[in-house]
Amino acid sequence: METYTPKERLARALTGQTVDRMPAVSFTQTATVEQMDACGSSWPEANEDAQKMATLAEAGHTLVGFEAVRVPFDITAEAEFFGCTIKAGTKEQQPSVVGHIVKDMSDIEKLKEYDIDQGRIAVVCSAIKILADKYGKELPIMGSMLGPFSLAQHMNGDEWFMAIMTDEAFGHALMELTTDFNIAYAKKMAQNGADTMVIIDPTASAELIGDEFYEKFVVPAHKKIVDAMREEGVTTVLHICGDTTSGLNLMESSGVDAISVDQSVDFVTAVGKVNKAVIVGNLDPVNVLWNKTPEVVKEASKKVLDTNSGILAPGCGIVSKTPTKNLQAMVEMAKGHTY
Amino acid sequence: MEESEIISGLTNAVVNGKKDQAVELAQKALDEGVDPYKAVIDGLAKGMEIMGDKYDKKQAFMPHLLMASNAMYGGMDVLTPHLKLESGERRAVLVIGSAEGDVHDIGKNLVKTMMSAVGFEAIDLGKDVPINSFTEAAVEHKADVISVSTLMTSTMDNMEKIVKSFTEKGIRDKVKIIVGGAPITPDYAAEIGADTSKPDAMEAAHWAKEIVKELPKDRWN
Repeated sequence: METYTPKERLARALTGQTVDRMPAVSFTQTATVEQMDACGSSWPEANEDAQKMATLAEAGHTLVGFEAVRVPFDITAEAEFFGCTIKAGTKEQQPSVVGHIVKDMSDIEKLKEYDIDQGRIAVVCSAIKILADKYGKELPIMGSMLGPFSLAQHMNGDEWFMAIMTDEAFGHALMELTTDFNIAYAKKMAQNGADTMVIIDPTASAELIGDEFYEKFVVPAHKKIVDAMREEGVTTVLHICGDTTSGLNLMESSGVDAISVDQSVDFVTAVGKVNKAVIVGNLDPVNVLWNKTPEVVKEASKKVLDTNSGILAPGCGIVSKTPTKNLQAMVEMAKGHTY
Repeated sequence: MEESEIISGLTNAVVNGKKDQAVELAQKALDEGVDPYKAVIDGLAKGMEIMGDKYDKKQAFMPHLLMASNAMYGGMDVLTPHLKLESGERRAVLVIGSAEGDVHDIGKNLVKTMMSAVGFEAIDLGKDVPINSFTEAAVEHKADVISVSTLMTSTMDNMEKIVKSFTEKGIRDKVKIIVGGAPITPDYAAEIGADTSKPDAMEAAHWAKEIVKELPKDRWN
């Protein structure tokens, strides 16, 4: 069988075409303390500076062996862009959103004018450019962003879960703001060289909000983003945490190429639930990748590989203290698998 | 209004997430001389239990649960100051918070709600809670159950430090400790010396309600 560059291989695998073997990638964040120490670029600085961000992303390829480079490492730049207060991260911990800025319709109106070239999202776009210039011919260049529902929750706070029930007009207005922003940001990443877009929308879980709200608020928003990316020739991966088994059909109805599932999902069941979408995942980042040995990682990988479907990957963001040798064990297992 | 009507009205107000209705009926319960304890347990808390059960069965979701929780607290704010306990009897005390470094609290708040619904007096330390605050609050309030949450893998170490701080202070056997959150498993709970971890808020509350019976009553004296 023909061999492919990692870039071609991932694009083919995500769109259901035949490949020579499984790509070895992580769709969720890749940075670890061991990589930071080795490459000289660490959190939190690597979250703020394009060159440092690119250097740390590159370490995922050069030190671990992932056949892709991916930025950023956190999911707060989007809320920060709109003015939410952020609790700074450390070398081991990502930043978090602590302050919310949207209370009502008038707040939404005030946020409609923005310059996409500002703030940390512009840093992410620059990092993508640096990585694409260096690796763009060979490797997949992955951009990731917080999805529109979770961004709305960051902006509105926990009130958001009630707002979608009690004030539908407000709910749709905020979703429109966040979705339009997501599209503009994702397009900018694509123009800078991203070829794979990971939409991380953890609070949009159907397990949390139920099918009815998911269908009403989340599916149309994801569909718009996916359509916009398809026009740019960019593949899409949707990551939602938790047991999403019963929501997979709805997730797929947005048209995403692949769905990333976490360790609470049974991989075989998930594969059987979707029509076309590629299931990726779902090694436990804590109880396998971080706290166990390469042998355990290989055992857990086998369970995914035995389905002879989808792509082996971490089930959620890699924990910063994860040993490189555990990640390499996963990479080795993926590389060794032919479908 | 009949007592039974008020009680079932309180339950319905919580189930339907109607805070105004819960507040109004709680006041009515007081006016009509309904035992406030009964109004809380058989009325409000029962509604919350029903919602917790529906959540388990995927018939209700976070939006419904938060509306119900709001309604329950609305009613409890009216009734709690009037709760009279038998002499010598006290409500079991829960000290709850999100581990230091973690600013998420929606899961923690749901646990607090369900624990309140099964009768605990909840001391809520909030989110991003300094490690030593848990032992301090436990001593001050003569706690029965300690509940620590984290959603983030990066703060799991702090969870372990919190459990250890109870051992270091020599009060580990005076409390039962439950830990929870997305990355937390029962194995991890056992590993760090906590008593348990449960998959959701309702199971956590049912466990806590039973386990406090194992604690000697005079242990804080």
